[in-house]
This record gives sequence, structure tokens and C-alpha cells, in this order.
Amino acid sequence: MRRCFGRGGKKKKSSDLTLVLLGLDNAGKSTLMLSLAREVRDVTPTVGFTSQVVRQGKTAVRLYDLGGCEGFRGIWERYYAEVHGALLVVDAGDPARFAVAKDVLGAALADPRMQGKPVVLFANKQDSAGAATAEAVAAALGMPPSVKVFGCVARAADVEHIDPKVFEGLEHVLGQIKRDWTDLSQRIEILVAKQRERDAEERAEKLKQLEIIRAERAKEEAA
Amino acid sequence: MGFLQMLKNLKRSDREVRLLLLGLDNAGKTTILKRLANEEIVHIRPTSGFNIKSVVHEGFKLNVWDIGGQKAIRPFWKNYMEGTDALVYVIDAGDARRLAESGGELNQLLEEEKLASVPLLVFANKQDLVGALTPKQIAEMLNLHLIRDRTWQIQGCSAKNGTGIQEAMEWVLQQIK
Ligand SMILES: Nc1nc2c(ncn2[C@@H]2O[C@H](COP(=O)(O)OP(=O)(O)OP(=O)(O)O)[C@@H](O)[C@H]2O)c(=O)[nH]1
Ligand SMILES: Nc1nc2c(ncn2[C@@H]2O[C@H](COP(=O)(O)OP(=O)(O)OP(=O)(O)O)[C@@H](O)[C@H]2O)c(=O)[nH]1
Ligand SMILES: [Mg+2]
Ligand SMILES: [Mg+2]
Repeated sequence: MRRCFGRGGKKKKSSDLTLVLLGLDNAGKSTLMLSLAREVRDVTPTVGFTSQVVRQGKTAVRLYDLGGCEGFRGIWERYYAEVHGALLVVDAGDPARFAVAKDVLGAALADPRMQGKPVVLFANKQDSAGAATAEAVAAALGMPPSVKVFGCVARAADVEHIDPKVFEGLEHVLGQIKRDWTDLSQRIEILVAKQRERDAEERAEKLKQLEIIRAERAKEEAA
Repeated sequence: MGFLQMLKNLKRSDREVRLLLLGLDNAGKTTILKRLANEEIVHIRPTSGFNIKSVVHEGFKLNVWDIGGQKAIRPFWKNYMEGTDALVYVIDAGDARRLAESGGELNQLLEEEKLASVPLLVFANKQDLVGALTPKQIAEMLNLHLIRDRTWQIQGCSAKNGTGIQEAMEWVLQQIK
């Protein structure tokens, strides 16, 4: 474990472990990632992938921030194999979407590549009118008792006023990861190797499909 | 938010930003460039060299480089990569026939050292055409989910009627530090 924790990265971008942020669109994932990186600025909806390395104590954590809009959630599973855990984000001020969030996040946690990996839940936007408490959000989402929930306000006025809860949540999941480190890293190694195989097969399959499309269209045009 | 307003919000010190527009011929790069510069979308011909437009506002300068995409001139793309702040890759979503070719060119660009870790915006252009591939379909076919070394975003747009371009540019400017 010492090899992986407690040592600063030599290269600027190296990291000790990886976490993925998951949640519906507008939950506050990108805002939370920025706050963890001690950055404050506006964000637009994500339809893609953004990554940042943040430092928590002596640990360099790579965060993956993915788009949460409906058409894009299908891509999440591409990142499951390699991550050590997840930060789940819910807009606590939007109870009308708790049921959807429950389905979507429930499915993510049930994926074999995510099962048993440490996660925390952020009941975000505690500053919004009528926000549900952290406990109410956890209950509405049917989270297992092993998932600790943190009420927070991911959006800060400036870098001096970032909600300490966001760091507490991160610290908590890192603690769990460190405890399970040996098992977790062995499992991830196997998962990643499998994923690489699958990616290569898929890439070949897609090239074939694209070639078929090309040939078909060319025939149509000639006709 | 207007485009000029976005420029004003940029936080960088040198106040000059370089965007590189690349993609196959006929993808719609020049049409997008004209949209950005608020010019009329008429008389657009295939680009045999490059076009550059600069938008200046309150001391900020955004330089957008639009390079011709015909096969014979793609080797010259390399000459324009230095100092790029964001790569904007344009795809004709109405032309599934050329998606493999377009994806191949994009993959090569992602290997370029001069473009290492440069944020990538993919425009799935010509969404006004019936049967145009959706941004999601294009992201999947091009395996964008395999990218780990840079930020990327995909945006459906129509340079013809102007949809989708402003919001994507807002994203681009947010990525520039
Ligand atoms: N009031 C309030 N607004 C917040 C908070 N956190 C984020 N927001 C706002 O919620 C909106 C959505 O935030 P994002 O960070 O873009 O949400 P996201 O989960 O990344 O959304 P997608 O990228 O679409 O998946 C933005 O307008 C944020 O400013 C918060 O704690 N309180
Ligand atoms: N229907 C439709 N046509 C478009 C759109 N954008 C561009 N076009 C058309 O596509 C053709 C090619 O557009 P250009 O902007 O010249 O393409 P380019 O990428 O600059 O091409 P090269 O200069 O050869 O590399 C033109 O006939 C445009 O009018 C769009 O959003 N919808
Ligand atoms: Mg986001
Ligand atoms: Mg052109």
C-alpha cells in the first residue's frame, strides 16, 4: 500500500487512484469536481468527459466527470472497470427526480464492475429552497446502509468558502478505499484487463460496421 | 450569453486564444467559422488553404483557424497545430458513409504531440438533415469513451441554421485556462 499512497506524483498528472462522479444531469457533478479542485467558476452541461487530479492529504485522486443527461448515461459503464469507487451526486432540491436518480444510480451500483467498490452520496444543493435533508435523500434513493451520505453545497461563492462537507465526503471514501486497498487493486487489475479485451473486440466490430455502411451507401448512390 | 460576453469572461493572462477547426472536406468547418464571425452564409466554397477569423473584444482576441479538409491537403494540418488551445473537430452527421474516414483522421490527431491534452470539441454538424446521426451515435461509433488524456465534449449542431454553436463555444472557452 505504501507504494500507492503517501507519495506525491512525480509527473504533474499522475495519480494514486481514480473515482468517477455519477448522477443525473444538473445534479452538480462538475461543480463538485471543481470545488474539490479548489476552483470556482460557472459550468455548462457536460456531454462528454472531463478529468482532474485533486490532492486530498497525501493522496492524488483522479476524478472522472461524465455527462448525466439521459442520452449520455449509457456511456458511464465504459469507465466502471478502472475506478476505485464513485461519488454519487443528487440535487436534494429536486425531489421530483429522486425516483429516476434511484433507478439510474441503483443500476450503476449493481453493475458487476462497481459492486463492492466504495461509494459516498452527496445530497447536494442544501442551500436551495425546500432541499431534502441528507437522510431523506438517502432513504428516497434506497441506498444501502454502507453508503454514507453527506449534505453539501457544491457551488461556492469563492475559493475561500468551499463547503468543508465536500472534502469530508471525499476523505470518507478514500478511507474505505485504503482499508480495502489490496483486494480492490487486485480486482481492478483483472477488470481492466478484461475491459481492454472487450474494447479491442468492439473497435474491430465497429470498423466492420462502418465499412458495411460505407459500402451500402456507395451502392445506393451508384444505383 | 453572447459570444463576446463569453470572451470577456475568459480568465487567462495573455488574452489571446487559438482555436483550430479540423475535419474532412465538406464537414462544414467554413460555414461554422462564418457563423462565429456573424457573416452571411453564402458563396462558401471548398477551402484550398485556410481561413482565419479573429474576434476581438475588450482586449481579448479569439483566433479561429479553419483549415481545408480535402485529402490532398490534410498533411498540412500539422503546420497549424502549434499553440492550439482547443481542437474543434467537425463531422458531417448526415454522411455515415465517411464516418470511418473521419474517425481515422481524428484518431491520428489525438496522437499528435502538439495537440497533447488539448481539449476536444466534436461538432456533429448538419443535424438539420433527415437521418443525421445523433451526437450519441457518433460518440459511440468513434469510441470517444476510450479517451482519457484530455477533456472532450460532443455537440450536435447545424451550421446552416445556427443551432448548437453558441453553447458549444461557451464550453470551449470554459476549458481554456
Ligand atoms: N443552488 C445550488 N446550485 C448548485 C449547486 N451545485 C451546483 N449548482 C448548480 O446546478 C447547475 C448544474 O450543475 P453542474 O455541476 O453543471 O451539474 P452536472 O451534474 O455536472 O450536470 P451534467 O453535466 O448535465 O451532468 C449549475 O447551474 C450549478 O451552478 C449547489 O450546491 N447549490
Ligand atoms: N444541410 C446542411 N448543410 C451544411 C451545414 N453546414 C455546412 N453545410 C454545407 O456543407 C457544404 C460544405 O460546407 P463547408 O463549410 O464548405 O465545409 P468545409 O468543412 O469547410 O469543407 P472544406 O473546406 O472542403 O474542408 C456546403 O455546401 C455547406 O452549405 C449544415 O449544418 N446543414
Ligand atoms: Mg457536468
Ligand atoms: Mg472550408
